Amino acid sequence: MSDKIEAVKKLFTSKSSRVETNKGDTYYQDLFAKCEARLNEMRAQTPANRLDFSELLEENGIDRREFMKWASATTAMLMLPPMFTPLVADAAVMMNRAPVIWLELQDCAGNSEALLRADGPKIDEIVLDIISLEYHETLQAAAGFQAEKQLDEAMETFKGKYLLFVEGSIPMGMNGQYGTIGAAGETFHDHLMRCSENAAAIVAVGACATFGGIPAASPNPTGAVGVMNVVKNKPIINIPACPANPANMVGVILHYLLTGQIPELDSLLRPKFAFGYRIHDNCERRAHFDAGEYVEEWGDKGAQNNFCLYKMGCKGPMTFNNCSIVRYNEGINWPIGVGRGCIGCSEPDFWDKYAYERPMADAKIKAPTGGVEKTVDEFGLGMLTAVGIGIGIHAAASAVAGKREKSGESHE
Amino acid sequence: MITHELIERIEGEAVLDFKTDKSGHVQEASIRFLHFRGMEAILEGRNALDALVIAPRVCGICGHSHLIAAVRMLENLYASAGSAVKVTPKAHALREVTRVCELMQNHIKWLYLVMLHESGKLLGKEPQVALRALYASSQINQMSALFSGQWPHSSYAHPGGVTCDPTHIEVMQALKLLSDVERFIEKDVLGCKTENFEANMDVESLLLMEGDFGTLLRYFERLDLLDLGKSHGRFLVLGEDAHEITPNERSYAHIDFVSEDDSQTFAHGGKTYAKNALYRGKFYETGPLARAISTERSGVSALYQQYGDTALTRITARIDEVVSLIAYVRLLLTSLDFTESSFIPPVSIESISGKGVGVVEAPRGSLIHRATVEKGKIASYSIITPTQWNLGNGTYDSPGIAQKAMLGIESTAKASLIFRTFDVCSVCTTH
Ligand code: SF4
Ligand code: SF4
Repeated sequence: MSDKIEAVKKLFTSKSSRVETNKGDTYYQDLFAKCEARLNEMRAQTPANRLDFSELLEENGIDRREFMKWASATTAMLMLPPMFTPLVADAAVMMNRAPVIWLELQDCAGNSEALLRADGPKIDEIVLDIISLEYHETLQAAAGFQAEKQLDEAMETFKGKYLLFVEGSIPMGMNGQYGTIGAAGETFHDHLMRCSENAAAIVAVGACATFGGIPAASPNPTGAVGVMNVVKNKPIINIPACPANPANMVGVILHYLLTGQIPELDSLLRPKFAFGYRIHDNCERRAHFDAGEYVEEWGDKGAQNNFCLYKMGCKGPMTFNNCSIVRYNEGINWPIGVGRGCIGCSEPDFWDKYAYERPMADAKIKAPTGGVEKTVDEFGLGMLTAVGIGIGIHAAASAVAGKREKSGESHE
Repeated sequence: MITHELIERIEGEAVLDFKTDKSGHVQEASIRFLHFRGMEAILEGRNALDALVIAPRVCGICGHSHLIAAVRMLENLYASAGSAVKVTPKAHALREVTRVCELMQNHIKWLYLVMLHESGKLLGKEPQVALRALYASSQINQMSALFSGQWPHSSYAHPGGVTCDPTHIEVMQALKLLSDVERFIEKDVLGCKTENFEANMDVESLLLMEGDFGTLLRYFERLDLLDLGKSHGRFLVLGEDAHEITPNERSYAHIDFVSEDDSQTFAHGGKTYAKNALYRGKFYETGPLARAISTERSGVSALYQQYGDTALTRITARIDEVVSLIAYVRLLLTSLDFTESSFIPPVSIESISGKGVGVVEAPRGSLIHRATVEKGKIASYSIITPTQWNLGNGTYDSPGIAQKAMLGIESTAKASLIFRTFDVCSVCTTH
């Protein structure tokens, strides 16, 4: 048993990062040349809108130095070596050559909010304004019928080139009648199918668009599913979380602009640059976890001293996402920063799989390795099965995705 | 003639169906909300504390209000089950800070992204991307995130207090952000000091204001809409400072008189997913104007006396609320007592059965969460959102609040603009 405990400790305290951060000089030199060529190509293209990046920077009082600092941070986030910084900067300036169409389906608008107003260092905001948001309820000038026309025009003009961002799930119940859009009452399903047909790739944003999210939580009253369950034969990039982190949305667009490719994805179609490691790996309370110092009750001494929230139900050890690094609202804070645990919102089915801020023990989680968790206090067993979940999560999640794919097909 | 107008912007989508006479004047208007998620059904059967994470997801625009409504519901449940929960003044103040942050940033977004934009378009003006306003509202969200973790969808409040334990550092940061926001309000929105604004709230002075708020009023004047948009003159505040106000009477309001009516929903052959919310069986206006009259804020109350519930008064109330909330947040932040605890643990939720109700003044008005709980499990959950009050569908003889305000307006485009003075939000309405 003590051997096991040691093995468990080792696993839980080791970095789980499965992202290759260094792929060798030849690889990067090759990629660099490709990106340069791609950017030259982009430079020759007519911008999709007339917003001028440099002008906007100036208007907002952002100088070149600040901009370059942002570019190097973004380069690091995309897991590229520093030599790519000037290219990332160039790509940002040419954001208005990457047409983006944004759909809002069955959702709470939380991701639009997170993206457009709630977050982003100033420069991210400008970057987002500059991208050709050809169709988004918020930023587009048109509304109503005019907007519908604009959407059709955008899809025609940028045929095969636009990135389709999708927020919200697709209600499949009652023939899709739980969500319709526009004056003609097109169902969300039909709307998504029509708009994805000529997209270069689809970026599903938020827990709802990726895995069905909260509308799909049991008993799933509207038969909600994620984008990957209905759209086939198109590259799909999932950016789950509730809400998704704007930095990751910007990252995907930049990556696409820079390379013409979608970023490397994990088995759940999540970009590895953002979902390659666990919350737990970079958590500010990690030292306390390793030292066995836990909050036992909100407001206790442990809470006042920022101890680890594992016993309060933190799902950080099983959740793959970069919010412990990127944080939210201009990096100002994140859930664990205010003493509540991670709820695992970037994992599939987390609403039903992970109970809320109660110890995992009470969450009745079936560990992929078999067995049900006991209380955390029963250290050996508790830790062991939790680790099972931590390391098995990718496999388990892919199994879920596979299952959903099947049920998705039957809807078609 | 029958026309359908699509209303879509940050707050989701609504459809307005108009009946107009030959000259295009609106004779009838009805409102349709076409999305549905089934949030109440999702809540049922779960641990009552799960409401604290699920409820905010009802809406990405005013989710924090849903969190506070859920936590108040739970605390009310504890109290009615005979295990009253204690909340320290510090925890209460922190909840207030984050709650009103949501109000402030919503109002700013409404002014720039909706009102200036839509009214400008009617006058043939090219809409601008309002970066500075977006920045100010993101600063307010940062202020909230300092204590609540993130915005949208924070879950830091629990029965018994809040999970955060801020220090002077967070409070200093928040005060700095607040000053920045105040500067934006004075420089961009009002074009003058807040004191000057509050001291000169007559229509002549308002129309001369240099900031973007003045611009909006002037747009409305040019569109001949400033003194239109009158509704029933019945107001309701159920959260903070509960009052009901009708043309003849002012009295304390009580939640027991609230009912929901689903006669207009698809379930009964209607055309929408949204239920109507009624007080004493009638439509009442909720939101910033109701709150201004209820708390008797002098400037807006005087405007109301003179011009009634017109677009002028309704728009001014929303802006005036931002101004008054800045002072309120500053007071809350500067009088925090750090020695108090953030959280006093209640007894386990599993030992609790009964009914709970939580009411909150959200950006657009009174938000209500009600639940029945059995041994810590949710047996039933019911949510009434602000938009259900203001944008409900009545009959020809007894129209809803916004419906009534649109009657007689000379074109459907202008009526749609009046509709937006209520700060339309479809996201949470069709929970
Ligand atoms: S993922 Fe979350 S933020 Fe997004 S739409 Fe769903 S509930 Fe809202
Ligand atoms: S708070 Fe959560 S993520 Fe952080 S160290 Fe503890 S268990 Fe891991």
